[in-house]
Amino acid sequence: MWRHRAFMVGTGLSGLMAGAALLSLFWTPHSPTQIVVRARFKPPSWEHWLGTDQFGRDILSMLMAGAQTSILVGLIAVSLGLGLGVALGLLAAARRGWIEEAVMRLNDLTFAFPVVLLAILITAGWGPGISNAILALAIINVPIFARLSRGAALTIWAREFVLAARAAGKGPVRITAEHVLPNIANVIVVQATISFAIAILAEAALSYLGVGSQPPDPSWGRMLAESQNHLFRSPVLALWPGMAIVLSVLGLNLMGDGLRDLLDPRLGRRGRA
Amino acid sequence: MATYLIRRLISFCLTLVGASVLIFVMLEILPGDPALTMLGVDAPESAVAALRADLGLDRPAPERYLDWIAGLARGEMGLSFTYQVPVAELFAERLELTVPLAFAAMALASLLAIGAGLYAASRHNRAGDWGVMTASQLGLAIPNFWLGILLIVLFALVLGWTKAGGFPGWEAGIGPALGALVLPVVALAITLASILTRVVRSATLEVLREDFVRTARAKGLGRGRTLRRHVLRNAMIPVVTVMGLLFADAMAGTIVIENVFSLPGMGKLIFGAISNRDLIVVKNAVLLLAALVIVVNFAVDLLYALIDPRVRIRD
Repeated sequence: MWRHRAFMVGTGLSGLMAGAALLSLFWTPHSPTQIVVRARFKPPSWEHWLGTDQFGRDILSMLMAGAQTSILVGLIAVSLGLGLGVALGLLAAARRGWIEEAVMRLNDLTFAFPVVLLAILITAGWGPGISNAILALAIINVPIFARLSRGAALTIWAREFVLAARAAGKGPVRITAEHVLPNIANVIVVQATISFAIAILAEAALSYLGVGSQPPDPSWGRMLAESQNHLFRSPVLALWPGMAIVLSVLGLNLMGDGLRDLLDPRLGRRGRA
Repeated sequence: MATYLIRRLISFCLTLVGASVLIFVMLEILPGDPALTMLGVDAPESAVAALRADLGLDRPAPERYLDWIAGLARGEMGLSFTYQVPVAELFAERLELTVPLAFAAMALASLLAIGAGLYAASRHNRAGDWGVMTASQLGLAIPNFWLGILLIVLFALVLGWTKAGGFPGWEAGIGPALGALVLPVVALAITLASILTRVVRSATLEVLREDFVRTARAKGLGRGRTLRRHVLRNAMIPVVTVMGLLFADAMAGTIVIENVFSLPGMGKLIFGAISNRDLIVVKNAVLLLAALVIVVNFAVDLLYALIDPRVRIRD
């Protein structure tokens, strides 16, 4: 029962984030980038619901536009990582042999490279920027999805209905598309939700460090970095972007947990036990 | 046991080589000319050519890679491009801060997680369990650098108990030095503990269902002693593995947290080096951190064989 409620809360929070990002495409209360010198450090008011920052920019508008950045980064990075990773994982499971070995060794390698370290490498070579942060996040996600889908696909390959399909003369490509993929889709969806949450955290960290999204693009991580220079004057500036990150990540994590229960009752019971 | 060790050792060496190749390719081959990266695109051609010769970039890439590795084996990492000091010297100073920080965070996180995880498992499906799981769900969502900023606001600005950041150095005495590390360690440990608590809890629950636990309780062993003597030791096997994997997160977190608290460690050095385009520092620093993670995981693999006799026999 509690699990169900957690899933609802998670979906609600994720929806709020997506809604804010969508709305900001058409409308924000004020411009998220326009500098208004006489409106610097304004406390919350009817005019500016969450107040203004050191440049007089409206915090709420910046948060809404920042949601766009977070979602964009998460969506592209996870899609790329998922696409390539699942393809590799399915190939490894269908073909075994050296392909499988290579995929697993690659997987071993990436555990030593947390996304921050990989982003450092990419940034040092190509310079900082949002696309390089996305690239780092996508690369990190490839082995995660590859290992997950290989493991799940192997258990499907061992099932009788696959044997039946092979006996009926279906080739490995058709079996993968018609039997393996549909049966492992639930695990992949759950991982995609969790990966999305991790990507939002990582994007915020990279932007905080100055190697993610660049000014004037609004980003929660950079808002936090800038707020740190004005902690004495206005500590609340550090509050809002952090809350936005926490609520989004919490929402996605709760949604992922709930999806796991809904899509895979067996796994859910074990996780709950 | 011997087969297990040899196999682990081979995979350890392969991972190290793989990491160094990856770093080399990412920094020196894929982006193009490292001399151009370091000097910027508008640098005069003569300066670029001079640096290229200086760094030996006119030689083929495999030769340069082997040179780098051979240098590392002799303990030489070359000169920092910006500071003109041996990179090894720069690192030695920074590691004195970064390594204790990462290990202290892991230690605190493990203590918190084992305590909270065991408690939650022993209160399974009751209010205590629910409370711990909610806290860990929240801890997972809080970015460590934001937690760091919040701790600064609370303890440095509002309460005035500590400074907002900086590090006096170990020579200032153990007290002040440790004092400067308390908030960074806490900020790092909370996230790590949130992940680990869940692992401890589910591993404990798994073991609690085993027959030998029922036997222990049936022969009259107390609840607390059963937990400590039988459950904890068996539950530690997956926990130790995850601790090894989490060390990579601890290392990455340290790099971030050093920037929050202005601590002069590897993280500060690396981000300075990125803006100065000091590829020599970046290359060696990333390899060093990755190697540290690989070594810790290798040690965990060995530890694994010590805790769990089944690992020794299986291979």
